[in-house]
Amino acid sequence: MSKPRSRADRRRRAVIASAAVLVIIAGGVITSTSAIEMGHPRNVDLVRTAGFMLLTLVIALRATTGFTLLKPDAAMNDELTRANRASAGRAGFWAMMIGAWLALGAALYVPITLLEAAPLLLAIGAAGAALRFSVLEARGDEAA
Amino acid sequence: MKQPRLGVRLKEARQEKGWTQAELAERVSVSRKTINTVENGVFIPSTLLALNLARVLGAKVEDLFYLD
Repeated sequence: MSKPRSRADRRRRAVIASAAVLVIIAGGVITSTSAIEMGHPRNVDLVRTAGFMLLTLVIALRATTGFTLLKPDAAMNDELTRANRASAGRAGFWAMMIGAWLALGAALYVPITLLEAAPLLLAIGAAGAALRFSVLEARGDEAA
Repeated sequence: MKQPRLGVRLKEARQEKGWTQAELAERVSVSRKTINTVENGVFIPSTLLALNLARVLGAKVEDLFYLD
């Protein structure tokens, strides 16, 4: 009974992680490529950018800290989870560093504005941390 | 010099008590995943958790963990 449930749990985690990564990256691309007139952002630009910032903030908080709006559960924030979060934070940091290096190198050849680069760097950092955390948490479900 | 690995006899000690991973996890206030990863040697527990596990299982820490 427990094996099918465990497989379903792993699959659910994989789907959630994939969807989160997809949404983050898609949001980043859409935000960075939208034609925003400098100094005169439209309301839709403000809402889209604020929404994207909030999404990356929530995902980064969930992947790397014990932040929750619900009643904290000690067993859901035990030392394995804290170690996984620390590892996820490192993964997100290095993903963002690599993204920044690539953006800097690319900026030597093509004009890249902060408006284009920042959303992608945020997406890469948050997605890197979220993926790493999901993988490590799923590893805890592996059969004994 | 080669670093020694941590050997674990937690599963055997837990099964002697007739407890599931979830029951042991509840007694030491951690998640079942933590017990699972410790038993599989994936996660090395803190000294505090190792002492706590030994206490609830009525064993010594060195009965549960050893250098391989």
